[in-house]
Amino acid sequence: MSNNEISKEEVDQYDRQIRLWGIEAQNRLRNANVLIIGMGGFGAEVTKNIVLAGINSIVLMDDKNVTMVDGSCQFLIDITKDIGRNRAECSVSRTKLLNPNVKVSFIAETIKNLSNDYLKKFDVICATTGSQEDITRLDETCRENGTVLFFGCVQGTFAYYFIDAGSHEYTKKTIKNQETTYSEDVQEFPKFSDVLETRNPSTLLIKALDFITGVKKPILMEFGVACAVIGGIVAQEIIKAISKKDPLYNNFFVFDSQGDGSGQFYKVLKEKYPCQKFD
Amino acid sequence: MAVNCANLLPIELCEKVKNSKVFMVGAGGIGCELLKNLVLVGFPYIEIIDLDTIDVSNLNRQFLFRKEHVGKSKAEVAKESALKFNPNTKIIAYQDNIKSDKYDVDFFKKFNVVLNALDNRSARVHVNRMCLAADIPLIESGTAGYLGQTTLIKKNLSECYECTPVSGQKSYPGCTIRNTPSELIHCIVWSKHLFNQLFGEADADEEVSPDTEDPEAAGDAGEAVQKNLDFERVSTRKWAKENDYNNLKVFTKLFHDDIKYLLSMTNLWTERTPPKPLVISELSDTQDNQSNVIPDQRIWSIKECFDKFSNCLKELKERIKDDENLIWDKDDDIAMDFVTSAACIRAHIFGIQRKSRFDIKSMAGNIIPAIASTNAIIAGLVVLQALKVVQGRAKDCRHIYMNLMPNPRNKLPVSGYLCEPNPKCYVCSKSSIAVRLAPENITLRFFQDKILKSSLGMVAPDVELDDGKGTIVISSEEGETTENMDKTLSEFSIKNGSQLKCDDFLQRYEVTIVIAEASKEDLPEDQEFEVVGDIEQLKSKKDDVQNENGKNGKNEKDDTDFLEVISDEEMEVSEPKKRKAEDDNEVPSGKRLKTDAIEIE
Ligand SMILES: [Zn+2]
Repeated sequence: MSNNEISKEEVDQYDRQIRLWGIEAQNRLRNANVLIIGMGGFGAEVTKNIVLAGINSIVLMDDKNVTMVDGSCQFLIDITKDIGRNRAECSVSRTKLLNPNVKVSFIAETIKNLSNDYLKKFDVICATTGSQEDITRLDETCRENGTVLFFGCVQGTFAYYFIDAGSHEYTKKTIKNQETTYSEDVQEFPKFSDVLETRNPSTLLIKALDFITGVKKPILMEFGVACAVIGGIVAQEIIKAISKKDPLYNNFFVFDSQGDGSGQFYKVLKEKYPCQKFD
Repeated sequence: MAVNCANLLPIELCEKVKNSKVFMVGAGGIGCELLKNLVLVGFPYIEIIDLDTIDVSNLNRQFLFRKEHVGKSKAEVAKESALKFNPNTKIIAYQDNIKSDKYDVDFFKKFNVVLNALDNRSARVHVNRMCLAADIPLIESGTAGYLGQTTLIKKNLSECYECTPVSGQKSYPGCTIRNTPSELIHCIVWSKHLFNQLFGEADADEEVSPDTEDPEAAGDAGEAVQKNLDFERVSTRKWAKENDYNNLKVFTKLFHDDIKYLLSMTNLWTERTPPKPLVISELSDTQDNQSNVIPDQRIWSIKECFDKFSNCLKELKERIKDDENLIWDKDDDIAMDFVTSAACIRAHIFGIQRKSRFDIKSMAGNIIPAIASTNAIIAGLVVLQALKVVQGRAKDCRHIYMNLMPNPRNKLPVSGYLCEPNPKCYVCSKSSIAVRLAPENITLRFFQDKILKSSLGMVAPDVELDDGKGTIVISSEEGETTENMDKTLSEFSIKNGSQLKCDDFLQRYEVTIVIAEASKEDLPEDQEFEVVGDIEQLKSKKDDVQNENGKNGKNEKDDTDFLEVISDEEMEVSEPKKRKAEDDNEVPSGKRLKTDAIEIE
């Protein structure tokens, strides 16, 4: 639990969300440390939402520099001044302004160069970029460390994410005959490498997996609106993962912003179990 | 310099975006996210209006604002912050009321699409009518906690905001509030009334003393009535003033004498636990063991309640030195302490579980929780809808929901087809409305203020009689019909079946109201009129009443419009009474989704 008391100022600032998820969840958020890998539009949206929610610290990581295309989705950089500079570094000052309570820093690194010891510091890692090998290794490390891993991309107008929360313990809320009861429950998540072996018939899911495995060439632009939608959903899942309230969506999500506005969840398991619906 | 949508969207769509004009109503939670999305996508021309200023409790989600902006105009600061994302955008900001006649039909007509990011029903009703009158597509949206939705409102294509009438506002019968509270909310409502009686504008509907006309207590309070009559003649405020707001006297009157009096109405307590009058010297200071809570979440002891109550009386008395009327505000600490302490004391007397100041603030201020992520998702979906409208594909818009869990087909957000306009809608389908009332009891002023303005959402109505001469009984021109206002409907021979042509020029909205006479007993408890909808509904209602002897005869729809129930923020304090329905934080009803969308796969 918290080792430092929440202040009156924080209670006022977070009033509207404490009324939603309670003081205990807020205290868990106040002690959570998050790493965002890839500071494009998707990374910026997730960062904004969880910094506003009031986590303890966030590290922004990117090894790329700002280019013109960032102007269509990345609102944490200053497109009039930052072109050619490191994307993570440029995002720090506006991120700090979102919520002065949150410690914000950056690293200009690649996933390969991150040590297990460094990764251990984080409760949640959200990668919005990375090769299949990078993410496979990162996922193994996160499972060992008990870190929740989100991995997703916005490819043009198409967006998807995968989550591995290992064995995730959470408090389950049941309402029966108007009476609310709470119980402890555990969700088991398949590993990233297993998910890639699935034989799922859904074209949307196959499209996402083709991007992940490199069958499809990456699209270098992120559509801002797709970033907003998936960034909101991932941020909400990060908050759930940290606060350990309510079950997480297990384990794959696809959103096509050229579709009808709906998003599609999948529970993707290993090859022998084709995609299962979760109820 | 802006790359924006060029490489991602079809060229013809980009061209249309480049030539579009957008009007955003509201710069709050959804509004901040929406403005960011519009600017990043490359919408070149945006006008934005919001009357509000920035509050510290906005900062957990309205990310265009920071601490140093508290107190400044939302529209202005949102504009300045969003321009940093794309300095080429033209943004015009108004800190103003959307209902002002500056924003008339011609003003609306210059836009390709209007985006609502509002937090209250009355403004939504107004913009709905303006967009119908100007025939401009309107994208509506709303969120509450984890829930949210967006839809398109377009004349002749889809349902308007008022196609599904809302069931009557949640109000509590006066005798429950004054005599027999059974839930904490009754005590909170009573305490807010008490605040107004003592320090604000007294309202006859907000009496706090025992109600001797309680039908349950009939013929029971004879002797006591005599005793109390003296008090009834003097207003609560006058009485308190004469006693210099002395805490001992006020406390004893409210929490001892009045309770004793209630006890004398013995019929009330045959099947209820009788209340226990309090004596100041015997107040308990015991507190439950409360760990792991913030100070505001601690439940006060009764002794503590008395101390807070006394302190509030002292402070508030100072504020009304110049005979000022205070307006209760949940964000005013003393006003909030007053309601918390008074409500807890009253709850204790009636054996009702007390709650903390934190929880009572939610209930008294109708606070709706709000977070950044839901607003971000909904605002993203709003822009997808706006792009379809701009592209000329309005019919491809959907009614889209954010829910707590994916639907059975694992979809979230969930989208469904737009509903067709309701052919009986009194707003978009020129249907008439029946209003049940007693013409001899209703003045034209009441008809104008409570029925036409509050209930039917008009801003400046004109009313014409069907007397063959077209007599104007209410005019929106200042002073033209002032002398009529205190006369009753009967004095103008308005009776059962009379048709009144009501017209709001600003909204270009016209509706015929058919009067259906109803005596006080026929009307819902404590209400002086009832809007029934169209004539057929009135008929079916009468049948219901006859068949079921009034029980459950309210022809109410249970699939209330989610946009009605939710809002981005708490309600404005200025209109607390008619908004009570909005604090019900309901999960959106899936019933409104007529068909599940076809899977893309
Ligand atoms: Zn309608």
